[in-house]
Amino acid sequence: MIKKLLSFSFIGLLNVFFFWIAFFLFNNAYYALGALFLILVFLIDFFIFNPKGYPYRYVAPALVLLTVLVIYPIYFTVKTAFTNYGTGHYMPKEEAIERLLYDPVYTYEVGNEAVEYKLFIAYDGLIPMYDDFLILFKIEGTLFIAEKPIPIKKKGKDVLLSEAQLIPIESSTYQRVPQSEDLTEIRMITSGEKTYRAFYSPQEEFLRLNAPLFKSRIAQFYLQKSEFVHPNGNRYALRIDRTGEWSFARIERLYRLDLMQTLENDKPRTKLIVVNNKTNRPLIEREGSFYDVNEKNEEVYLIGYIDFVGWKNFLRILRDPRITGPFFKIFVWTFLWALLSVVLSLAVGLPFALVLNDPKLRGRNIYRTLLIIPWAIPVFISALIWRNGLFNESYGVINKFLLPALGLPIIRWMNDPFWARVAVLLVNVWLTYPYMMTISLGALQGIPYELYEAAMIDGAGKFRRFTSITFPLLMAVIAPLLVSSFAFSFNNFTIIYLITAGGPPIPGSTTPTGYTDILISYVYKLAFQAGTGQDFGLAAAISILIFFLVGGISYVNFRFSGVFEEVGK
Amino acid sequence: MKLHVHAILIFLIVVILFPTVWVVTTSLRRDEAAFSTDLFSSRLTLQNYVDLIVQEQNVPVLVKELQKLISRVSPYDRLTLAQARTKATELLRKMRNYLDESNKRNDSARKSYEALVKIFETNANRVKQSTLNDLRQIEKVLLKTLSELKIDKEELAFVLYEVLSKEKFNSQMEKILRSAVEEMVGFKIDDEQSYALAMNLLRQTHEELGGASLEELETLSARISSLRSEIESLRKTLQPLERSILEAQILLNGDVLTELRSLTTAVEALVKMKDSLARTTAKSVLPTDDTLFLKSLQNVASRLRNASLSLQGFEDLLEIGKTARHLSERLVELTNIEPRLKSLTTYSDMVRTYEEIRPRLERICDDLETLIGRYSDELSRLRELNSSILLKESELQRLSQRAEELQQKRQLLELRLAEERSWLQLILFEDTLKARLSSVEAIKSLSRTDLQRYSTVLTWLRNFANSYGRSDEVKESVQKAVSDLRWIEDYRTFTTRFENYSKNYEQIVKEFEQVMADFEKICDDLLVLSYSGTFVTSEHLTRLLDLVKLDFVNKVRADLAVVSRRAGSLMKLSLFSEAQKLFRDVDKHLFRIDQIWKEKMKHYFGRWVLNSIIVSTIVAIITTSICAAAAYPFSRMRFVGRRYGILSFLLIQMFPSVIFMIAIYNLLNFLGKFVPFLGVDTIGGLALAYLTNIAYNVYLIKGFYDLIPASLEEAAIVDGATRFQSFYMIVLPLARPILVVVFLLTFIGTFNEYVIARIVLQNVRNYTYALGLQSFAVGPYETEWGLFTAAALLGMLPMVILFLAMQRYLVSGLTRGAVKE
Repeated sequence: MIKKLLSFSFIGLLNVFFFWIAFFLFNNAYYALGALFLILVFLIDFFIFNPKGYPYRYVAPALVLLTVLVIYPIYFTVKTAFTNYGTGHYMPKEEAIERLLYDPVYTYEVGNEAVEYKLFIAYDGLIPMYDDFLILFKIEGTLFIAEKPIPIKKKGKDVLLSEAQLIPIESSTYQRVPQSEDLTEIRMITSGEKTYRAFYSPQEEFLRLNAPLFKSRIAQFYLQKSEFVHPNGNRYALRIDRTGEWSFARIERLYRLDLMQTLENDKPRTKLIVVNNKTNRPLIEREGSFYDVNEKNEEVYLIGYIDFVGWKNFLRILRDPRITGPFFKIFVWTFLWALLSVVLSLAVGLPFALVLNDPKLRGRNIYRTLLIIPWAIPVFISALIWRNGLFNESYGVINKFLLPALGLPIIRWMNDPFWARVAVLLVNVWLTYPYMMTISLGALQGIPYELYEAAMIDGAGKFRRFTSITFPLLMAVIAPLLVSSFAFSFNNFTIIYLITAGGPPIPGSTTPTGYTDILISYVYKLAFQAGTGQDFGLAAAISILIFFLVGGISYVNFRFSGVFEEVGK
Repeated sequence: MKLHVHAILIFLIVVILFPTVWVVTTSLRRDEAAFSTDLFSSRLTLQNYVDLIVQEQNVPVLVKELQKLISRVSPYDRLTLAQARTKATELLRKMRNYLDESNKRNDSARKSYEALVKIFETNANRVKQSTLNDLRQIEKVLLKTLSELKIDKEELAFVLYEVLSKEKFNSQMEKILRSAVEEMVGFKIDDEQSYALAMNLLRQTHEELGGASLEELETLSARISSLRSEIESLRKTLQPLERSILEAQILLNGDVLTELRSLTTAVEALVKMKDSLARTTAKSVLPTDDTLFLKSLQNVASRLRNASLSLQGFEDLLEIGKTARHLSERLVELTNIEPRLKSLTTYSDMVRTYEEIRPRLERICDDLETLIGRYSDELSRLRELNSSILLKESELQRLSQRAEELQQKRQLLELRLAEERSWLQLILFEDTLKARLSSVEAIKSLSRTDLQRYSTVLTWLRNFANSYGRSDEVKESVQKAVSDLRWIEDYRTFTTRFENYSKNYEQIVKEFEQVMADFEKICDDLLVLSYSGTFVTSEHLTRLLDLVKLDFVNKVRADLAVVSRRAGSLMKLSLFSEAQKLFRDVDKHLFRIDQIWKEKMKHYFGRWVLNSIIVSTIVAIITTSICAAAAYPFSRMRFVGRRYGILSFLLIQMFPSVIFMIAIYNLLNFLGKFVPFLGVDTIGGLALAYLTNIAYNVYLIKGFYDLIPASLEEAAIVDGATRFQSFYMIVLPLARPILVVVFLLTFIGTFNEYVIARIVLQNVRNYTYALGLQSFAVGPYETEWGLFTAAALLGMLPMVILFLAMQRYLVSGLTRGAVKE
């Protein structure tokens, strides 16, 4: 009874938890993921309450993980492929507008009132409490006091804008010590029990010593995105002026929201637009970006947002000449790379397997163990060792010792397209031949000895036996594994990235491309190499292409190797 | 028969495993392997491992910590004044200890060094004897070889003439070669006259063999190089000319043209006025004085016409020429006025208006004339220069061709002369050899000047070995002497650099101690000031840090490295066995001194490894348990999706996971705002991102479950167990081997993952081992191989051992489905 009660309350809690997550996700604009969680919770309830769903209970945890970490990302990727998500287009449109309206970047200084200020900090014994401070202002001869600004616009954890009120010191609860009108003379501010001591002022030599602390501990944390509101509505903010000094200035917002009446198909429509306060001109909106028009009638890029672009990313691969050319090169090299990796590593691994398959060979276990070591070393370690110790153009072992010893000229491994490709292939063969050797060994042991005996009786020589018996039977067994290996090499990002990082670069391309780049490393560079501009949309489109290629190959492979039947057993 | 198979296998394994061997040896090296000329080194140390595991707080670190303490920044911002005081004394004490140790080491190094010098000096005689032996051996072989050389008489004459043609009678060279020449010509040479006679004879042979062409080649190449420099200087004069021409053109087409146009409009207005003359009748009171007007008109018009004519040839200036001509025509028009109209008021107005623009017109004429004059002058000079450059270039080409032909001839000749040239070289060598022998004999000890002498002998021998073309016994013996003597140079640098090091070291340490003592005096005051709420930095500490980071690095470290390296190569020298240990001592002490003062890279190796282990363990546990549960129904029950479930997921997981990271990164970013330990740049978030490898493991485990007989469970169910109990208590324990395999595979896979970690983690302290290792290998650390290889080995060893221990399972898992029983 108690057990049942416990399990019911557990199910209840689980439901509440999942619903809460879904609700939370909806609230934060993660609609797709929220919907997925709703579906999940219904599925789980179905599994639990319907006896027919019993088998699924075991699968449920795996299903949750796969949904969140595989299905959702795939959905996200497919969606991204149809947008312009990337450098300059990071946020939804609403957020972009919000930034234009609130971000302190989009303000301008007006007037040149003299604003003096002095910062006071509360101390805990001798340690300054950087999160508890007051700022005393002297604006046009009047003293104002402001407390720590309070965030008023937030985006998740990030504060977009904080605000604090400027209160005339006489009408506040704070007392100056001494009671003076001159900022430099005021040493302390008290309020009841609490005292704030002078900490920083740009005017006073002694307090200027604290400038680094003021900048790093207070200005950057609390004041950079803050505005101080005067009783008459004027706003003041900390800005770096022409001399590089941090001073307060009166500011005004650069943009405001407005409505515009337009005619669309002869029907009047109202559209939200953003207007520049200085010029009173509306911003231009084009291809997912806002542009401002300045005094010289030039368009200035302001901020971009994520916009739906349809099949444009796919069409760019086919039509944009600066993408198509390098893309085609990368595409061909990817196939060549995967194919050569498999063929060459088999060409190295198979002879070893043939030699080690001889049961009369002494110490073959030791040989096998030694030969397997390259496979056992983590790939990133091997890649780094090869890159740094062996292929380094000026210090590497190959260029410094091996080639001179053979009387050959040194090779520019990282800068010559051909040799860079040779280098990555060499490392990959070194890494994968043990795998080929191992699977060949396994397959060789499955070939019945009687076949060889029969062949010997028929007078077949060693070579003939290899071509007619060993090789065909071996291939029948390892062919599916070779195909998988091909698919794996196709996406073998780590080696390429760690050894050449795709370089040397292909000249004349707008996207970051290199001669050793394979599709997947190209995708990575497009998506994550911030230096050259990110283009998640294009990256996602190419990923979908890769998926269809690799998935297709693997599907056919599963089909023919009979994995389907085996699982269905 | 099997032996060759083993030999080949072993050879291949050595080649294949070379990278690992390199890692092991490099991680143990004391020197900077990247800059060494040896593949392996005998100077070994475990210092790299020590640096990885315990980071020593050496002098630079201590100075920085003190500075932090004084400025009260993290990690010292929470200390009380009393605590800070004790901390400061502790840091200062440590620093003092290091200084003491460093000084002690320096003293011991000094002592060993002095002992070394003594040993070398007592053995000076032995060195001398062996050098003399080598030189005598060379002499012996030399004489033998000289007698064996096949010398063609004519060719020898050629070579002799070549050398002697530049020499005078009784010059040193001539004296050496005199006997050879005498033998050649058959008479004695004892004065200028006979010498000239002999030279004449030689010259004949020289010319017969083609010596003239050689001479021609020489003059040709001299001429070619002078031509080249002439062309160069011409080009240089060309440049300012071009610039000035361009300037004139810009001026003409710009300001001048505008002025001309505006003048044209003004003059056209005048012309209109003139045309309207006929229609007016008002007469002026006084007759207009227009002589000046007419004169100026004609003058300006003709000047403009001339200017426009001279501009005709220049295509770029057509526009301005046309404008000038147009203006001049207009002006001429103005002169044609019927005399009767001249008495009208309008005419006098016209004249007055003209007076206003007259200065402008005249000025523009001046400008035009000077500019055009300059322009055409410069243009003709430009043309001249260009044609002379072309001329010179064509000559250069002709000469170069000829030079090439001659060069070919000369090469052919050189082939024939090789033997004779060697002979000549040997003869000359023999002569100097005697001088060298006597100079070595004069050496008494191994002082600095003596070392200098040996060194000259060595360079001389080395130069000979490099320039001597034949490979014969002479070359061999010279090379042997060179290799015997090579240590002299090592020893020389060793001593000079050691003295240098010693001087600079003492000077820097002295200043360091001085500044440190000063600091100690005011340390307490600074702390009190800092604790009164002011930001304090200590000038003394800045100076100390400068001493360590700049002075020590610039003045001491280079010498230190050289001394150590030379000591390393001298160690191998078997000349004096008792010196070996001393060299080792010097090297050891200096290495330690370097370690004390060197600013080392800050890293978090231990933390990185720990992070990796934590992430891998979490991921392996969660993945294994989830997959173990998920695989069960696939093996035992019938339900919709059983047949294609795993496979669809296997296929779906072919989706390139790199691109997932955009979504997962966003997700973690979002999650991190509410559950901090699962955010971006956290270990938890990374672990979450790794939990994707499910389908393949379910497939593996399901295969194993299939092998467990179902009857066991049936029996349990009959005994009253629920389905879950039978899974939990019977299937799971039996499946332990595969669960262990899946656990370890996931562990290894996660430990070895690089890309996702690269994307998720940003802070150096949160790195996993993979990222940390990469940070040892890129940018400024690309050549710091010691730490990198040590870290690589430490990470590699457990993985390799784990892998090798599991290879049986791994192989069977891999080939399952393909290799069927």
